[in-house]
Amino acid sequence: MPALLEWRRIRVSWPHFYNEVVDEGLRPRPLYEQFFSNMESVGMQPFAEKVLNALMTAYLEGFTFNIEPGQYRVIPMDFIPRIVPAGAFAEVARGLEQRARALNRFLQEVYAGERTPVPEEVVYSSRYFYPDLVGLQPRHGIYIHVYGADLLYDGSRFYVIEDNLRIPSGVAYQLKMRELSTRFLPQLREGYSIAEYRPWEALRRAMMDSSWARDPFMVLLTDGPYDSAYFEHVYLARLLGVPLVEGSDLRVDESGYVVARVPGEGEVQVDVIYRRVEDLDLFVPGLSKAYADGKVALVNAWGTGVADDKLVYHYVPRLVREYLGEEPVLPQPATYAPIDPVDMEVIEREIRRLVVKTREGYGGLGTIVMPDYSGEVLDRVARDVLEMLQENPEAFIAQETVDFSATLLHSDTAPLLFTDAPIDLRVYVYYTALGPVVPPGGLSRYARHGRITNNTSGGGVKETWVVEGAG
Amino acid sequence: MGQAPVPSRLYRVYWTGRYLERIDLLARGLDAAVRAFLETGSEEPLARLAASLGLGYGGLAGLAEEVLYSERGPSSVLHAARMVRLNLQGLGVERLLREANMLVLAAENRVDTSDPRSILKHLDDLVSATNRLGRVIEEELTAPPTPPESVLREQLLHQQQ
Repeated sequence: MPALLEWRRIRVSWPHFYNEVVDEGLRPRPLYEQFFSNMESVGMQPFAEKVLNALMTAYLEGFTFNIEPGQYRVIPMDFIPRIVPAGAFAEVARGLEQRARALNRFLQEVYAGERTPVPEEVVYSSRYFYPDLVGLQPRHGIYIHVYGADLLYDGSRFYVIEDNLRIPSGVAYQLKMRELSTRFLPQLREGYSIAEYRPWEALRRAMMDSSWARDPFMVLLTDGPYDSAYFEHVYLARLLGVPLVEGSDLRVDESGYVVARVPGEGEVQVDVIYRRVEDLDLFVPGLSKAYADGKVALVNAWGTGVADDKLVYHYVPRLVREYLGEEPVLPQPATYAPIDPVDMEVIEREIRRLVVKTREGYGGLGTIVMPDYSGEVLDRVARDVLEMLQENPEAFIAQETVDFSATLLHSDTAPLLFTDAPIDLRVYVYYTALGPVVPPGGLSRYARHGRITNNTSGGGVKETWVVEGAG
Repeated sequence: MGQAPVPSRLYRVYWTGRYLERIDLLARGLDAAVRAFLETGSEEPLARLAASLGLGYGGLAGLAEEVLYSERGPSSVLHAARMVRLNLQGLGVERLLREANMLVLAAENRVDTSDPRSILKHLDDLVSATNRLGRVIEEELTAPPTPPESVLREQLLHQQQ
């Protein structure tokens, strides 16, 4: 056991979660032994200094999260990585490829006006179903060029708890975190063969494949510096080597094509827009029509939100079985729909064990984790939630609570203290003409308050190492 | 290149300039007034500065607080510094953003506003932070474009004739 852990204190606040870093005796698990001896050889004082330097640099380089105009905060970072053996990641990749194929096929059928395994009332009641798009097929039939899946680990397997198919964000957080940790603490990586993570290459490929043009002119459309993920837009645009544009830079010309105004060069026709905005026409009037006329490609395509719906998530295993004739590789927790009377009975009986989510919520907002309450508060919350579900059954879903795994954090302010925290994993899938590609890595986020890990809810970022040559 | 000068980028540069100018103006105005106050002991220059900024005057501390740190209106140094940062963030030039963040840190630095000397020191810091940023802007954004090889060769031929 490394001396480090002996004389440092570990404060455990999630004893019933599987801790990925240390075992029950608070000894490091085999995958992390090398890491802790690396940390020891750096030395505690230099380690703390490097961490502070890295945090300061992150601030100065704008690695921040906007809360509201003029207000931003540094994204919390932790330099103990999340290590995933290559074998385990390969299974995740296989499972997500499968899900991506099934969900994409589902969108193809929805917008071809065909019947799908998902009940029609679920599809047609979604806020993100656009009847205008029926009959329209994007190139190669690909709708979800970028797909972010949220996963939890329970000590033996990864579970998919959410599919993000609209504008999945966060990949730049992982990249920046990697950049900082290799810059400031390269010693920590010694002895590990970490898979290279270059997701922007797959993203670029997926963007190129979305257009009919041979050498498409591509841009990244942001809604401006007030967007909470503006850092990511700037960072990704630079990695992709495409201009970062705002709505006011684009317009739809007389012939219906989208053009970018570049002073000194006139107007340039835009073939592909990696859009990081939800409302197309609000930013570029006429954009949705240009897309519907096939004059510009959108990444992700317009209308993917219908598969992002948390009620559709309920049907994904069925989609996988019916469309691909395969068993789903990755399990997902059982989901109950309050609109279904049978499910509602289960919900009423089991409410204390469930997670209740709004159907179209994002950013961890509108999620109520019942097992986080206890005693009288639980009774009151359970009563309120049930009332809410009865009043407005189509707006919610309920899900079995899956236990998170936990990780160790070093403390920025008290370097002699380790704490544990719940952690999740977001893995990105890029859909190219050759099929879905899953770059080996992803965004590990830890929760600082409760168990919601989203940045909107104050979560922090860890590096994800997919390590080859390990169990 | 990801640096096409689309209008939104030019707009950001324009507003960066305006906000920097505002910081400079406020800092110099306050600096002159505080110095005059120290020399003469009269609060008149301070009151005049307050009036010219459209603020009521209730003592040095209140004025300095308002000019340096006010979060209410868009006219404090702190607000302007944050807007500089916001506008520069979108240009994707790390060095610029770093310097802009240094400016925000300088502007956020709290000093005792009832002590004229510490206000002057703070203003000095602010002015040097804006100057440093100004220099980086000059280096990063106004480097003259290098004409293509063919143009240079033609120019050379032309000169020789």
